[in-house]
Amino acid sequence: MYTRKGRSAGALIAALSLTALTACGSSSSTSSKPSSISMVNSGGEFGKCIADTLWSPFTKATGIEVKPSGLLNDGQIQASVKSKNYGADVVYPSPALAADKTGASYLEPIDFSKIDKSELVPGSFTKYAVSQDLYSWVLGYRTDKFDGKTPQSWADFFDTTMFPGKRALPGDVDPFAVVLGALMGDGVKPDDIVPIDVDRAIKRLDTIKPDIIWYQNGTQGQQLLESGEVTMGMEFNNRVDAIKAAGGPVETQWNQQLLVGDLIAVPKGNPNKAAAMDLIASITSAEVNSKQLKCAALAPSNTKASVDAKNAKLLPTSHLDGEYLVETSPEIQNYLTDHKDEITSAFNDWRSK
Amino acid sequence: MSSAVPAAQPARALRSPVTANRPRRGGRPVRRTPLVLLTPLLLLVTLLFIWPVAQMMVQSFTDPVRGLDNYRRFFASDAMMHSVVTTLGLTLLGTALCALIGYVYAYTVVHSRPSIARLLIVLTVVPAVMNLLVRAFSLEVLLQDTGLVNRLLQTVGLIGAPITLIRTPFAIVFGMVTIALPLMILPLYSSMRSINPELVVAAQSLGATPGVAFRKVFFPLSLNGLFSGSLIVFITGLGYYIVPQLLGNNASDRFVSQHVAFYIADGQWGFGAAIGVVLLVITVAVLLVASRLIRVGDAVRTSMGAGS
Repeated sequence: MYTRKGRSAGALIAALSLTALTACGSSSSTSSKPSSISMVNSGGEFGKCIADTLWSPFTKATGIEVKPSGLLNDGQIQASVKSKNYGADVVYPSPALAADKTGASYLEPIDFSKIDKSELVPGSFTKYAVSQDLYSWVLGYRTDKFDGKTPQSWADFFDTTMFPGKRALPGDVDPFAVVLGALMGDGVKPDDIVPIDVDRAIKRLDTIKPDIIWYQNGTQGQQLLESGEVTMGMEFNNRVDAIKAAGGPVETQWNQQLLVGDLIAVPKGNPNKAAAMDLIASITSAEVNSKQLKCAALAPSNTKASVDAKNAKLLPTSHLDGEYLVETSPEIQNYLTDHKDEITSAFNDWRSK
Repeated sequence: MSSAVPAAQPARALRSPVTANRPRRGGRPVRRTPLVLLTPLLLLVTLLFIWPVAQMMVQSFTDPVRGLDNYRRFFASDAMMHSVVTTLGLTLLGTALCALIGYVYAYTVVHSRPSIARLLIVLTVVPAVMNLLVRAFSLEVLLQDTGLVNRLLQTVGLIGAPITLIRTPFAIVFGMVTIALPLMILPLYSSMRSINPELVVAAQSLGATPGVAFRKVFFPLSLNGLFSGSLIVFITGLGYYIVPQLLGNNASDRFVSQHVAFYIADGQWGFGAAIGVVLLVITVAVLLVASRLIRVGDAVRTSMGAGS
């Protein structure tokens, strides 16, 4: 009885190890061209739409399937590089992670032999990441609360006498956007924003402290403005459009918008690096890049990508006639690399008082 | 008054040691079996809990550079000190309210007819098994300016403009009490049930007023449950994240765990770990102090043994 059992178990182990060996063999022989790679995808209808529009041209051209993987924040990207256990081949790093100094430790340099830099929106890429699209932080306001007056800039955002009501700010979503907005609201010109004077920003924010509602994510920011709980907010541009589309009395002030690139990059040391770079090149190409407009009003990062007139007026890149700032620009991000802790600490200390 | 209730405690106290030591067939003592049975669990705990916690502790001293920098930064930060005070203060308040409400509730349950008592216990357990996130969300909907509470008060005419309920320390404490109440009620109920009701009757027959009988007989005997419940509510409360995140103002009333989450998501693992270690140290300190008052093992046992 026992011997028989033992033997069959032995046979099983042998069979298993044989399978494992073959599996190893086959995977190593195809490592130059993987049958599939993975990219972070937020899922849902939007995630599926992004896969259909931005990923499928790459799969059609190369035969390499792109699999969606779960969201990874900076902490997780860094951990995956340290442990060499990659959650995804293409990820969305924060602008701070994609800056020169940190990028060198955690991300592969972008292969600009495959991407034509001159076609991309200036300031929308770094050495280690390029923008899939651009969105912006805009001043969203209620049209029914100010007796027909229109806030023109961040300075008006801080004027609660002329424009009464509470203000929504993305304190945890993007603390730096809040700081930059406050500086513009204090009269700093976009060209003079670096070096970032965090104390000046805090002083400005402090003037409306009791009126601030800090929000945690885009949905919450949208709800606050939609319900009228706040009369103005620093909002994702598409969130204001969503309220408008649903018939809400809101409007976008594009002046002094803060453009942000949705950066994509390859974690350092990733074995599928070559294919991942090809995917990034395909996504940012003139032919493919504007297809994502089917999913949301995301501005293409490729200036040669075609945009129809109906969509054009929704896009941040169509409203560059006023003042604006590119938050993801290397100039700001390289400054932030060295001063990030000091700015977040000062900001959080003030916020907790 | 049923006689089954007072009989329950001595019977249980007698039964367990006897079963544990009784030799089984083959004369082998059963005592060793629990250890063998525990091995997979111990392995799992070591692998999934002790190991990561140890790693986190090491990281708090090594990331990004070796040394005490992360801790220096922690103790130099106004935001962190403020957060520790907030966490301890609001959790203490929440625990006290839980104790007050939970005590009255458990007392009512123990002194109700069995059918009513069963219903009251079910009403405690059902919300406890519901998803925490769902419960916190529903509180958010309830408390917001355009939420049910404000609408109701406005309709009745008690208030004109909505009063600010959400994004206040009140909302956090309210959320904590609603969510942690079962953790208080169950051990209290369990310890109150084991009090022989005839002791109170005896006290009264010897001339004590109901108030004195409660104060001198019933209350001291129920203290074990009260301490157990308070300890569990307080310890879990220190680690609250979802409740303050959804119901607090995310500025002046942030819990320590919210800072941990922020810095880890930001990639500052070492600093996030250091904050986590401080929270762990505070928790262990509370447990050590509590262990002078009660036997912590008892606290766990009373809360687990609830209703048995």
